[in-house]
Amino acid sequence: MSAIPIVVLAGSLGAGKTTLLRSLLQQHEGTCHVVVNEIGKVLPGIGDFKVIAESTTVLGGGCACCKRREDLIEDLIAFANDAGNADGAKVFLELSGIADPAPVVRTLLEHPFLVHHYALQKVITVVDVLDASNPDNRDDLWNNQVVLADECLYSKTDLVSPTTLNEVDRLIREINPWAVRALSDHGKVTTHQTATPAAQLSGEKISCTSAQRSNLAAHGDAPDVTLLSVGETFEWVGFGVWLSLLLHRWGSQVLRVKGVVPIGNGAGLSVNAVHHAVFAPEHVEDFPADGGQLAFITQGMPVDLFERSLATFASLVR
Amino acid sequence: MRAVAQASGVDVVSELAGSAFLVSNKKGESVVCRNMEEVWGSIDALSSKPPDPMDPVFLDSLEAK
Repeated sequence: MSAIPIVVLAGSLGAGKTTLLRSLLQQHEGTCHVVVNEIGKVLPGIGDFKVIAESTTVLGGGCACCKRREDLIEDLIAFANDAGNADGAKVFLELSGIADPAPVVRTLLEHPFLVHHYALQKVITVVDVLDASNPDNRDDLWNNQVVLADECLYSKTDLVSPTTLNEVDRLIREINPWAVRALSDHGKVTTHQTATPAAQLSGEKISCTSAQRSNLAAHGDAPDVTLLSVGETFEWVGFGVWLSLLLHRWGSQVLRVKGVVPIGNGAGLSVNAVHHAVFAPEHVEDFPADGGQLAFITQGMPVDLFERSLATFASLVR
Repeated sequence: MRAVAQASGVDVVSELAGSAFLVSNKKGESVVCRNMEEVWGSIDALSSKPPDPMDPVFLDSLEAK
């Protein structure tokens, strides 16, 4: 049995997650299961999904990242057992507006049943641009939702000026340089902007200065982004030991590690971790030997030591 | 991994054809571990100075090897 793809939708309250979900469901063919997490009482309109999705579970009265996590696990196990074999089976999980996607992603990666039956396809964070343009709204939770995103979808863009949109976009690129950013018009993706090209990122570490940091988030402690480029001399074994120790010691402060590293013969391997949990690496074809790159999004870590630390561990293997 | 453990005053050897690791310290305490996460946990338990990849002093001692 192949793993069931799962897409996680995150974003602040009222950002437009449900609108996006409707749009995604209309495009999807095959069996799909929807899990909607609501912080409060379940709204009457929620049953509308049944028209499109074959099964819907509503986890109300608490966040799937904490209070309702066990229920989420049970629900996903039940779906995998019932319908997981169907062709094109897919799960969409819409988190509540105040849920942190990190514990949910970790659960998908670490739970002994879920890790074998589900493949996390992507985390889409809906960013309410109007909301995000106010620094008071960019708290730790907002940071976490952006950092965990593989795609950031900008909603309510018609309510802000192009300058504000650019400003929010710049902030998001600073804390999550790999996210694919797109504009949304009532849940329909209108414009795709690709992630910052690797060429623009490589070579230098961008670490926010304290001035930028205070600009980034008024309430939350904005994360640091450290980029390391790795070339042909990359030492895979040393890196594995280093990363496992790094996450063991500092996992709670490592919000995200993402990148692709060269493994020789023109191939690369993806590296992806959230806190202590590491995704299964994926093979990348036609990967340039000198194009390896690792991004670390961390909070309160001595970021200036990353490069030296990795080099030291690599040198032990050579 | 062994070099890292040794810098923390602990030894790690591979056992059972690579399917397990034996972590031991100089007091003769030892723990059998099945994976990396257990190895790091045992090194922390058996060492008086657990390894920290973000500690410049620890990196100094590794680089001196």
